[in-house]
Amino acid sequence: MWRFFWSLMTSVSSPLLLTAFAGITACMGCTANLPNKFEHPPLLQRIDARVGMSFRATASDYVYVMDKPKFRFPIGQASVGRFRQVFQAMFAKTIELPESWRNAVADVDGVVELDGIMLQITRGVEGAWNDIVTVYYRVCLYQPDGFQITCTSALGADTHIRHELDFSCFPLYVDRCLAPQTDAAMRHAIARFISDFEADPQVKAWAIRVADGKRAN
Amino acid sequence: MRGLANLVAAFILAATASAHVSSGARAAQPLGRAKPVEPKGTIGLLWWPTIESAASSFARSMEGCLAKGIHAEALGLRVMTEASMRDLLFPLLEPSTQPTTEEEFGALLARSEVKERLVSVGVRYLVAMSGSTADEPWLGGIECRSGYPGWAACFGYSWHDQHTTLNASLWDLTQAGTAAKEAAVVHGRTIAPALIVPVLLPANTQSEACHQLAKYVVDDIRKTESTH
Repeated sequence: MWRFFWSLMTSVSSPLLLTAFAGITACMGCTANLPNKFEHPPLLQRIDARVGMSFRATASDYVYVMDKPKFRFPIGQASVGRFRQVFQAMFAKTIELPESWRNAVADVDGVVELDGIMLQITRGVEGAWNDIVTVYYRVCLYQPDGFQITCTSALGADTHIRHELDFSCFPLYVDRCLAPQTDAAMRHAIARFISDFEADPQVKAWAIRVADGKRAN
Repeated sequence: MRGLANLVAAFILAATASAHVSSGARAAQPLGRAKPVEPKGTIGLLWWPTIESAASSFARSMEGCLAKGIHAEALGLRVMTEASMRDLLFPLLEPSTQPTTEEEFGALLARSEVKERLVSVGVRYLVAMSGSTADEPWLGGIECRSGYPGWAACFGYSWHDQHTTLNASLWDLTQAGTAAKEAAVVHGRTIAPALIVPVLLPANTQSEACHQLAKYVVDDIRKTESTH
């Protein structure tokens, strides 16, 4: 009888175990697929200014590496692509500047710079199966002479509460759940940045100064 | 032996009879005398207010089910997914920027750039969905025993109730305000009878609710189109 049960158990669970094992081992050293652009340009209030865009290497090269399973989240590159689209929708004209723009500034009304990125993934443990993905951005606006006008910090998070016996994330845990969560947290943080940046009195004052300057010319 | 067989049969019969779903009927909405119209165009699905997580299995499964259901009810309707809709209107529907009231939602849809964007991809209708499933605790009990020389058996009966509520507001982009509001409320009982081996007979309230809602939404679109 026990032999029968054992053979039944192994025949049923073997494919499941193999699938789970293959899923975990196949993704060792894998990279999460994070889209680096929005399908459509963001819908924004456009500021009539010619602005230089700069992306710090510490931000654009930022990669978060998760342990067990080992997985890379190249959020820096994905964020640069998205912020490029945001800045292009936000300002009438944009040009891309190197990180060393402070030494050789072009003919612009201001420079907007993606200054920093941070990703934090907190995975649920037994008893509290909550996966929390948090993304942080810092973007600064400068005058062409390098004087800092303002910096905006934005945070976005996505919390997934996995209930007991909820195996919807497995075996492709990262692809099915953590990557979409990271994508959502990035979107939330970028949306937060946009609303805070648009509402920033320093930005508004700068936009008025730029408009006044254009009228005077 | 025959007695045991009868007992098993009666047990299974009782069990399957109680693995059921019951749905809250919506208020009767006569379609009038208008001719049925086969709807065409694109309908966008959206969770509003935004659902808790991008990884929510409830949101994913309900959205997929609703999309299939709408397409099955009206083959001429193309369904645009939540992710595409959110991308289309980014950043206006993210948690920090989304409208908080129905009036604000209506005002957002009335904005020229929003309307233009939606029309550019052929979206005529938008369904703002909300909902959840509530699981009640398991009741009853199943007891399992094992002994020498290697036998094991379970006996008992356990069940739990599940309630799924799905709401939808249908917005017609050619009109101001909502075109219709619908709700599908489905109650069900998952049962687990155990006579030697436990058997789980789930009540699929989510699937039932989403199919109902898909039907209601398509009916509303037909009604809207017939009055145009």
